[in-house]
Amino acid sequence: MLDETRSLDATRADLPVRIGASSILARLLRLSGGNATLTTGLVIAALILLASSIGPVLYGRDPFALHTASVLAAPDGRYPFGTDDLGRNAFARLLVAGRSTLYVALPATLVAFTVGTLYGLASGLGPRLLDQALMRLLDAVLALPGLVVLIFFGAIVPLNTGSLILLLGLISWPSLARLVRNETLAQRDRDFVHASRQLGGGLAHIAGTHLLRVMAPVLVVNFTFLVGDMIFALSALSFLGLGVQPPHTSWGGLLQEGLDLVALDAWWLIVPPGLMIFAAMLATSLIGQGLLARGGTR
Amino acid sequence: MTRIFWGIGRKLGSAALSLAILITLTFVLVHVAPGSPVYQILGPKASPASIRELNHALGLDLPFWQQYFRWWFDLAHARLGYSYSVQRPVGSLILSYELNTLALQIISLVASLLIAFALGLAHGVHYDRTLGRVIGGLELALYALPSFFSGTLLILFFSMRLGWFPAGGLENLRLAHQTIASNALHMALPCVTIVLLTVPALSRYFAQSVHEELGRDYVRSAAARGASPSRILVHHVIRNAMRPLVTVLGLSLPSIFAGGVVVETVFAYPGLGWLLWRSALAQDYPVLIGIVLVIGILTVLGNLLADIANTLLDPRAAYA
Amino acid sequence: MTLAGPYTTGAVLAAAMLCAAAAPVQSCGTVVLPSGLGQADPQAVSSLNPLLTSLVYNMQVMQQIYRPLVWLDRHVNFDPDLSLASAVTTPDGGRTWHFTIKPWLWSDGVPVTAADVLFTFATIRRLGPAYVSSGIGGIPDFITDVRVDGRHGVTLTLDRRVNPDWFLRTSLNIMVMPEHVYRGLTLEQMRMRQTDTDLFRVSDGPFVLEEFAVGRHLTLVANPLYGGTRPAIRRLVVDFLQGGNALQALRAGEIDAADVPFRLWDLARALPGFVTNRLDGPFGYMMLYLNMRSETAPFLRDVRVRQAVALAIDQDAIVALAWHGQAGVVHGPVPPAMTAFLSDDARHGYTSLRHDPVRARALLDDAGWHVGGDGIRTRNGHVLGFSIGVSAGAVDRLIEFQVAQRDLAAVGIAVELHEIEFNDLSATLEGNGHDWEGNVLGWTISGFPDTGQNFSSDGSSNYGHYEDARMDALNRAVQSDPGRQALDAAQDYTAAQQPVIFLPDGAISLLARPGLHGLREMENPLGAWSPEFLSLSGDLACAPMRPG
Repeated sequence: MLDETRSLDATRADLPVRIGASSILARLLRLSGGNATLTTGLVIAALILLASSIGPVLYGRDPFALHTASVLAAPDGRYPFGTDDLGRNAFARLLVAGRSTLYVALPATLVAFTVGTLYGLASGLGPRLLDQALMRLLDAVLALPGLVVLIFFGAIVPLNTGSLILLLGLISWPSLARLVRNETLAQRDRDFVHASRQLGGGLAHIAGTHLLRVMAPVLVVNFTFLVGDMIFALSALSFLGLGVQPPHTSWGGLLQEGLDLVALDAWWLIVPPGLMIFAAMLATSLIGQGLLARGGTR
Repeated sequence: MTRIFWGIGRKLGSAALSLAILITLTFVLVHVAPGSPVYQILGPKASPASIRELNHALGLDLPFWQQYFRWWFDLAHARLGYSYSVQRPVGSLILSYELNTLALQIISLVASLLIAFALGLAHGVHYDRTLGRVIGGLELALYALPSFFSGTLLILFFSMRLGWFPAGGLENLRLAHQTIASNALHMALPCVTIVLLTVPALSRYFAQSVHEELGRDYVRSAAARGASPSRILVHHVIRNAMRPLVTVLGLSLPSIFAGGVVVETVFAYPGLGWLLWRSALAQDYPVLIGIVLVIGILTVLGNLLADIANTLLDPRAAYA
Repeated sequence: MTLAGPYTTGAVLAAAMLCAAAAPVQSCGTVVLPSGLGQADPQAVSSLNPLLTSLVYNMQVMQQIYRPLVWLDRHVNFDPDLSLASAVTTPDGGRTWHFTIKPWLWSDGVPVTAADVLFTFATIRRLGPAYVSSGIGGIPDFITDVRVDGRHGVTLTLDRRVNPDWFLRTSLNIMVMPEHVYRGLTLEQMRMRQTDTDLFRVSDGPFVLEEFAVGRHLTLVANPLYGGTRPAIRRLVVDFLQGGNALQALRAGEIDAADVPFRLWDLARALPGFVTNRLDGPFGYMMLYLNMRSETAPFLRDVRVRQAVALAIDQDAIVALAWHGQAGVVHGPVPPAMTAFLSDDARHGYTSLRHDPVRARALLDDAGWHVGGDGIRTRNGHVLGFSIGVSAGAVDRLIEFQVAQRDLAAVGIAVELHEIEFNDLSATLEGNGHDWEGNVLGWTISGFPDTGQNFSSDGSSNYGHYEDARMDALNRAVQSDPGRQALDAAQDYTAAQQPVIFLPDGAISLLARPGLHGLREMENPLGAWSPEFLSLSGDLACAPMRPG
């Protein structure tokens, strides 16, 4: 366990990275091939991931403990990001909120990514009739704004980590599916696919080995954007009270609590969670843009 | 021309399918979910007899497939049902809120377009120079700024600290009669929030098309013919670059609406998005379904309008 | 050109601000209050039909439009000034009741007569179970006859002799509706028109409904034909503030008063430019309903366990931590603030139930529960633990129960708290009772503090399915026997049995704009509003109206 001074020091958000920050930075730079946009994005993403994963452990303060003697205290040495209206440590809450945000957003991205890719491949490789049917269904899912559908179902479905992952994942795949389908259609008549087919490769085999490899750059970029979309969607949903449910919280939920107390000038409950969402979205956006610029793909 | 009609028909079809799926799912899920809206209507001290009675009167004690077909039957007779939480027919309730949303969205959209046009043009013309990069960076940053964060900050500074603007609502309830000025004052912060939300994507897209148009042969040949740069810009580049802007505008209408939900919630602005949110929290299913229907229809209409505008801007499309 | 963006934004803002400066700041004599003020967080008024709703938001407004036959003052006594009846008598000690109606006018000029009272009772009977308070206070079941007795007299005959103190305070707070407006409406029409402004424009109360923006706000204006004390203000706007926060709206100048959460009391008081008002009461408490039907926690049926729970919880700590000192210790069904109704033991705070972990442990030992390795008690392999559902978002309540959780763990009872939406909570409570262990409900007494509704076997709010023949008999006696003894006996027995665990609820304080007076007089601890007692001074009273 950390002693008092160490853990106070840990509250400067940079500490988790200072541990070997230079080596991480060097590796990132190499990874990004000198692309500044990509590097910046990766650095921010790494910071957020570290703060949210090992941050709560490093900081070591109980995010649920009520300090009724210091209700809504402004940031000071004891509470680096102040306290909320129950006297809970806002910095500790910010760290665990990051964890629960990512716990939902990342698996949800995987769900959406998997569903979208498989759907797109099935549509692109399958018979024309199946393609037609799947595309009509896709239009139907796309006909309504995702957030509206999320709110709609958020009101009906009992909300917990599992249901949120499924809800977000199952609503966010269509645009990726369309992209994969169009990519597949563009690639299916290329030589290597024909060759593979003549060599007796099954459809699944073709999809698995060849198409996915060709599409990998596009998929990676879109995966990145999908992560950003998912963090935004979950934050918005939580902000509206239909996301991560108490006693757990997420960045969006913290921001909502901050807005509730805006009359008492509690800026310290508003700015940090807002900046975290902003930084997370900026990071995915930068990484995506960086990858695009680097790969020269769309 | 037939292609356009075919396109319109397809869009209507998929929208109808989408709404049917949503409504069906809703009935299944509502039936599975615990709780009943009746408690919220009658209050905690209501007698069990009156709770049973109201459940019966609202048809909530019917098997769910009966409720389901009853809903379709009512829709066929232009009845959207009755709100549990505010006791009013859904249709008139939605209408009164929708007008507020349209007012806010149209004003914000006009402002957004003007700003995006100016910003995007500057970005596009100076694409690879410092100014262009600065604007590009600004766009990227604004794009990552969630509206519930910017809105909350605006309330904190302009409403709480400075006291310049009201923090919510649309009306100054002290006044016996609402004035346009008081409404405008209430709409200012939500409007700015929506503009911050809409501008980056629009201006970035516009900048890209301006940049592309500037690189085309006809620009070079026009310059060779001695046309002034401003003339080329106004007569050729802007006109051509506008077209994709219209398309992207049509395509982004749904997300503008969705963004509206969050902004209206932050500012407790009495619009459709706010009603959607309240109804979701109150589990007022008839209103929820009604709003989703309306937003679905508006989205399709928005896309159609974008198609038509595109056709008008691009004569070639009309012959196709 | 690149600067056009900021310039445009600036121009829009500047234009909006100019417009704002030109607009009149406010109109004279208007007060804007959030719905539920003094009772609960703002929510939409959803119905103005007093026979179909009992929500506090609706009640506060409806009572301005329809005067109740009997209005109870802050000491829970008949208030002839604010009631529609000028006199209520029962010559035979509780079987026949005679009312004299004041010779008032409805706001459309039609006289208020006994016929309106007759119509209201007839409608209640016609509604049957659809009447929101059906069965409560013996209405309409006890009534055998309602007879008009001249133009302003009504005689009510019951099928039994009732305790006059109880009946007067439980059953007669009925809002009288104008027959000439409602005549001929079917029940279905009444149900479908609960927010229809046209149906509620006729008033015999201090205010008349002027506008009802469904879901958002409603406007009441002073009733010029009101027969009682006329309001000192001209307009009262009730802002539902949905999704908005009352304190934020107060600070932004949109409303004139707001409830202050206890935990924020010191901070809110420090906001410059506002005054604080502390209200009477509360006439309420928290009830931790324990489910006697629970199969997973059958030990809740053991009175020793329930007493141990009550003894283990340190209410003084709860009052200090959750309510910042603004609440009183409570062990029985009569809230300590209702001094006139407390038994002697209750007045002394039930010394036998005071916080005493030692006695709690002894009771649990006695019941066969012994401390295991982790400090939690077990018996025959079963763990002494149960879960408690607390309304989601009720922060003060959550603190209260976190303290309770800590105290119970100290005597070896494991408690798990979970937050639950109000709808789900209600549904759970109304259900057959096989799927929950403990649930928390805030309760406000709105009349005579009898406990039949909560603890009689057939009580409509006996959510814990508590069944006890002696309790039933004592509660029946409260309804039938005149005098104090029946209530004393019932409350002492309830306290001893702890069919629910009684816990403190905080007294509400308001933050208001200076210049708004009479909030304390307006807020009745029973939950009713009397906004006719509000008055204004300074800027709020009358800012000069500018043209346009």
